[in-house]
Amino acid sequence: MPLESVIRKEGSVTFVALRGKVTLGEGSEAVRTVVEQLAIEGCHQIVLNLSGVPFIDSAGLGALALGYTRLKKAGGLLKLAEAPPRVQDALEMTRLTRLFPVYTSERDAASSFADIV
Amino acid sequence: MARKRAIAESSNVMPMAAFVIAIAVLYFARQILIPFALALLCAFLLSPAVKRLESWHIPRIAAILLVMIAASGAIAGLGWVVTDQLVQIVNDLPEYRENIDHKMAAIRAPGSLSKLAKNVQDLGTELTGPPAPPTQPTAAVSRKLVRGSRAATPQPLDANGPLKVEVVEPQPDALHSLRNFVGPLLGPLETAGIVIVFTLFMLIDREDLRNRLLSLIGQRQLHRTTKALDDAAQRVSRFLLMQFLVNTAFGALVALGLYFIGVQSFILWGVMALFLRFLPYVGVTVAGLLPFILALATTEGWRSPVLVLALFLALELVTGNLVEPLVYGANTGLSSLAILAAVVFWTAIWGPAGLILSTPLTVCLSVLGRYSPHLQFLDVLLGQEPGLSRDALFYQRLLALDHHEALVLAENFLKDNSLITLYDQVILGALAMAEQDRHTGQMDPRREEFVVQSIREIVTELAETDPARKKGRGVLALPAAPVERKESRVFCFTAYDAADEIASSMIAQVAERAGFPALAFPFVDSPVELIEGLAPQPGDMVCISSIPPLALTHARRMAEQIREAFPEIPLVIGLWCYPTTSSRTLLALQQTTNSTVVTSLTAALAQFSAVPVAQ
Repeated sequence: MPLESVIRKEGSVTFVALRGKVTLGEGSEAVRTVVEQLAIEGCHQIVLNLSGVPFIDSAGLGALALGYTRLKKAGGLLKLAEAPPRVQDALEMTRLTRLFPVYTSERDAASSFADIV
Repeated sequence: MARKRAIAESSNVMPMAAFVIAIAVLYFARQILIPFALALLCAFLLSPAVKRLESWHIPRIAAILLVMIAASGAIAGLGWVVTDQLVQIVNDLPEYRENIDHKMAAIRAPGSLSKLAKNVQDLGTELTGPPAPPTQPTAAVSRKLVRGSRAATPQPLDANGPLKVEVVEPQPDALHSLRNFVGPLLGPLETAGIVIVFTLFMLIDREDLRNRLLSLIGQRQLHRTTKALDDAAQRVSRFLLMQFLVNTAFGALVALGLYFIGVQSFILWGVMALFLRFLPYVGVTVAGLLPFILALATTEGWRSPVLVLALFLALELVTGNLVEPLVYGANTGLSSLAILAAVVFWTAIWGPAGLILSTPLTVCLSVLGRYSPHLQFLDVLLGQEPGLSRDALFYQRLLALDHHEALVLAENFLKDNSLITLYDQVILGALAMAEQDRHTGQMDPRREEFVVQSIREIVTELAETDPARKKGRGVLALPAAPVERKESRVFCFTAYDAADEIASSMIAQVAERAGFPALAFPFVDSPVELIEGLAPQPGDMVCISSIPPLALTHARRMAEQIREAFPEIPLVIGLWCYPTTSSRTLLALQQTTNSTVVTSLTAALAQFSAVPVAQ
């Protein structure tokens, strides 16, 4: 199943809902492209909703880390929300949660940007 | 140019000439070689028993004599029993004369068979032309000639007609009878005598023979020759044991079947089937023919003879097509086709002895091919291993745009091997071949894309399987291995292109399964920035993946960047499938980048485990 992404904007925050596996090849490439494209377009506050992601592999985790560093370099921030347990476990194991904490809802993730501001 | 061509042509002609000479020598020297080869086989068979007796502190000569006497006694005893039974059956045959006559009459009677034969004959006559006009009745000239007498009296009936001649042999005297009986036996007896003497000396001087063979080949080849001798001995012994077991089972089933059919002397036929089956293809025919004739003679009706034929046919079909290819192929290392071809070849040049010796001799040839680079073609032609290595086969399937078979190959390999072995021995090799072809411009873009995409899909599919799942039927199921979670993370970087990226994912996968949290990245211009973003802790490691042919250049560039920014971080450079013969180059790379260079995932994983755990 190819990865699908639905993008919507609410104020300064861009929500990207991912649906499908984030794995080596199309999946990880799609994540990377979406984040890089949004950064180019000037969207600097991005929330990735992972509720539709059943599985993520090391290439997918790499794509998230890469997206995070690229966005950070552009002056933006990447946050994750609603990760299923399997994905949450992978993020914790690789200590990526220290870079971008995972929020239980999109709302919480969006409001964390306000805290920073 | 012409000289080069001449050299190339001569290099093609040489092996062919050697092959023809070898066959000629085997054929013309068969009088010497056959007894020698048979003695070698006997020595193989008897040597375990001799060694056992020697281990009980019985002197070698005594042990050999004991074993040979026991073996000869067993053969003679068995021969005696078989002959006795056969004589009894032959003596009883007159009692069944009426039965046999009845069956022969049934065959000759104008039944459906004879009608069919007549119809075929008529059809043939019509097809070949009009019937010839009836000829004038020719009067035969009958002339009786009696050898040794001049009393031949020609009786011409017609001067133009042919003479009918009947040669009547004189009654043989006692001396002639003896000569007729012993004459045909002299040849085999002479061969048997030579075989016994050869066997005796081979058993007595077996170490001496081995040492002479080793010194003949040369002390430089000591390791290879020793391995070849061990391998040949092991495979021939296994083959003989397996053949004995299969034939014993065959003989037992024959005896059981004949018992239920109601054929007399069923144990005799079972034993004969056991021994005759050592003669490939011919033996079983003879073994089946004898009880068939007996059933024909002794039983009323056709039921029993037909059942005997059906029994042998069914048993031979199952044994020959199912049991033997599995058992012999697996134990001799020969392909089933090679065994069949060997039977034809050796029988053609050595006759019945070649039939007996065909498989052991072919095993020895295959071993010779395995350990001698010049004769490698023998192992490829005769051996059980497929001509192509697994990685080449996998790559070839992808080149043929056959993703399904490539996946099946990977699945089958995983049934007996771990994921890391699959990656090391199959997929990385295939990737390296694809890269080689791509860089030399031999691969068209469509195939290039297909190969990369297919391998990527297979690797992705493997990543999703649960490593805790036991070996089973599931697609790409993996062996269970409870692993301890490690703190050290592995950052897997791609040196340059798509093939490197797939390799990077592979090492991340195997690291993950070994308990290391791993992240795999595509090619990035600034790996340093990425590592900084990940806030590396002591114990975290970096692994750069690169696949030949341009592995070294790309890997070095990235390694130098990382090393400059992170002088302390453990750095492993994976030049996957890189020729290990270039050890000097690898050593130079290690020194300039203060890293560890590895060429297999197994070695990389060992390196990760060697890095001290973060406190």
